[in-house]
Amino acid sequence: MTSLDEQRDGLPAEGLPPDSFVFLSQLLGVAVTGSKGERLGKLVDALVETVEASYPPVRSLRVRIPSGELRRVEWADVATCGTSAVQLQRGAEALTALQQSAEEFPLAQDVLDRQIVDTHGAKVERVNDLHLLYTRSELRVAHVDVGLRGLVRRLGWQPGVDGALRAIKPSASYLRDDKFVPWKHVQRIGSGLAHVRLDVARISLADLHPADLVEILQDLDAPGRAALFRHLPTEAAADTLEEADSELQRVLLNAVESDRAADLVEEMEPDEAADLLGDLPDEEANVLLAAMDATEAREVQQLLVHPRDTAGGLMTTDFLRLKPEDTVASALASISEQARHVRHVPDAFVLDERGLFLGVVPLRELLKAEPADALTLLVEKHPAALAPGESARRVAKEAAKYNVLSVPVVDDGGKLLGVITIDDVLEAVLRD
Amino acid sequence: MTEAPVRSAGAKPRRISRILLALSVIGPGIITANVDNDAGGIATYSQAGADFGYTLLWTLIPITFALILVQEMCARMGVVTGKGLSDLIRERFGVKATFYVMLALLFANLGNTVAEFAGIAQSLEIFGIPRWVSVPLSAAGVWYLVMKGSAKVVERVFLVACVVYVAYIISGFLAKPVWPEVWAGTLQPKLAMNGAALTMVVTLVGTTIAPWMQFYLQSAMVEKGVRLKDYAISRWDVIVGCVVTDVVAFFIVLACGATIFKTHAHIETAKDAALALGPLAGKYASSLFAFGLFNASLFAASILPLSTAYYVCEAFGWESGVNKRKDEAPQFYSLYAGMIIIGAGLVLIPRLPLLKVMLLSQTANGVLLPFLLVFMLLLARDERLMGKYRNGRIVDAISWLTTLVLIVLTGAMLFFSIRDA
Repeated sequence: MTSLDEQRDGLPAEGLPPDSFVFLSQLLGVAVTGSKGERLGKLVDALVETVEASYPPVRSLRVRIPSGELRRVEWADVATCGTSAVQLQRGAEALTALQQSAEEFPLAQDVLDRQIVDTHGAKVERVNDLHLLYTRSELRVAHVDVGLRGLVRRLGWQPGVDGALRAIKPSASYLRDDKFVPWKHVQRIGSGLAHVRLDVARISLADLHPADLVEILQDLDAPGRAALFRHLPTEAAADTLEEADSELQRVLLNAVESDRAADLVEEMEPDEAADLLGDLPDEEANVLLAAMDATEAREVQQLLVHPRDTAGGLMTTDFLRLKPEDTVASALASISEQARHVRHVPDAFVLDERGLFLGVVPLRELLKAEPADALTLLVEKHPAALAPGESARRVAKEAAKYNVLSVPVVDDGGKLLGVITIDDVLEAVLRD
Repeated sequence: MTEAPVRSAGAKPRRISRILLALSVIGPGIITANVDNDAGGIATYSQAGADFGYTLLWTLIPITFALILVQEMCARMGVVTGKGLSDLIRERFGVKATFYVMLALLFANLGNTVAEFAGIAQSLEIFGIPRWVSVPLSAAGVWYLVMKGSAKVVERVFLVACVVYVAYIISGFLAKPVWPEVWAGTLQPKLAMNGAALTMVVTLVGTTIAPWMQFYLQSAMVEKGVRLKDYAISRWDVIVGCVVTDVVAFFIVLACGATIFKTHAHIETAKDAALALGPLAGKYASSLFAFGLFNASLFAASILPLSTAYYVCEAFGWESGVNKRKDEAPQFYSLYAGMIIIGAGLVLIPRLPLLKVMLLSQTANGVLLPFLLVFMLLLARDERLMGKYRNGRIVDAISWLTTLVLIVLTGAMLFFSIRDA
């Protein structure tokens, strides 16, 4: 290796042709030479701008000089950049002390071999290589390579494997389909001990479906998981908690301060929050309850009384409530107000002032009716009101029998305690 | 969902949940320690006692120190970085080094899996169940348990059954060993420079400080989410675990030394090794031994292939986990199924000397260990990774010295084995 490099000394280094792609692994380790071709050291890293959104350019290089120390070279000092050598426009004076500004990050150190989130495919991947574009004398990050071919290239086997495959099976998909993730879909997780930095400004992970976010969080390593969860907006974080299993819930809640944890639990559906608290060790659950808003905490605690897979354990206390004296117009106004925090809206439940359950009004009926009509004309008796002790299976059966999307839970005195929505029943029955 | 609901109002579920909770605080260190005394471990310790009497007992003292040194380092790396060992190796040393480490680990662990299924075959043959029945059934059983996600619960059951090792301690006393001889063997280091003795020492090291245990312990620490401020407790958990492992090992060697070695018998099959429990269990010794070996083998067989598949996938960034579909995580399932099918399949080869295979797999562990240690030590001293929790100068020096001793030992083993052959 060294002898070859020495032979090249004095010859003009061959640079990349314009508008061509190169892999980071092809550049790492190449000789860095001065303007007269004298060998200065070898390339160990390339630092890229964080601010630039889609395809960030390389701003500086890290060079290991013969003494073993690292030096910095500005990209402006690079004359030609190629896979056999990087030639500078100046000599050794271009090598400056190692430093890294807050606006740049090293590719080999912080991206290569690390986990990233592909926000388009909603998957966690490990970076096998980086695909760089050389254009207008700039080197920009275009894709990350997460495929098998990248692994083979890093092992140094690409010529052999490619050659063998071309000879045996030229049509192999391995030769054509590189698994690349465009840089604009890459969420870096970063590295380092204390602070894992995320460039949250770039990509909104919050737009992903909570179920996808749960999978991503599960696949990330512990520091990445904590960092990502901490950066999620409150609503997305609460939705993610609802989707997570109890083990992951606990891990995620441990990743945030207890005030923030309490905020997130408040934001969750009360029945989901009760499930979460029920699965936590008593001590941790009490800490959370104490930090929560008093009314929210009371609501959740009431649900905590019921065993998990019974009607009482499945019900939520967030449902649409209407008064018997409402008209259709006032009911609709009330519903549009309540819909801010109530998720299940196909059915509204009519209660008198003592909380006695009078019946249900499907939203569809309300929308069809005349605004001035009295609500009492539309109220139907619900066919499947159940006691809180009934099993999840019974709830599912009743819901299936009467084709309803929700089942009210009523106590002995006829008071409406809560409402079970069909999605929660499905989950419980599937768990059996 | 494996946990019982804590919230239920009824008295009965609450009591069960209490018991589960108490079991769940048993730390990864203790669990790892008990998995460490697997089929290969029992075979190795028995053979060491049967062939060398008390003369190799002293090796267990430096081995215990080395075990504590290595496992503490793994546990610390897990807690500080929040990452598994293969993850760290990949991020720090790149694809090439990772590939060869994983390849070596895969083969060593395949050997260990063969040893576990060999243990199952041997133990159930004592009860008269032929191996072509016991091995496929156990393989299928392990697969089923893991896929159902109930491996964690079963793990606890196995763990409780590990109490059976107490039998060796009692048997060791009841065998009325000549205690001065025992102390001499324990406190006076003597090592015959021949292939057999050196191979046995490397095998003892390999089975006690098995490379795969280090991956397992570090992942267990990460998974448990031990926080830095709680690390002091975890460190004790690890140390106690190491000591327990080696106390059990000590008494297995002692019991075998006091019985089998004294009668100049040799261990050819597991039945012979059961004689060590004779002083305690008399004619039930075989059954007791078989139960212990079966439990240990099945315990490790339910963990080893699965965890190997995890580490390899973690290193290469392939999707993994039993909650994934087979088409989502093809590499994970291929590795897992391959380990079980090949591991169990090899045991079914007619007239395969199972006990030899079990010992050989542990020797392979011993040879692999120093190379893995080099990577671990480079990671544990890395300031960027470990901050102020990196290995201090003294620990670093002792660790490198240990590694050097292990490499010299392996070299000596190869030299004398070839010379003696």
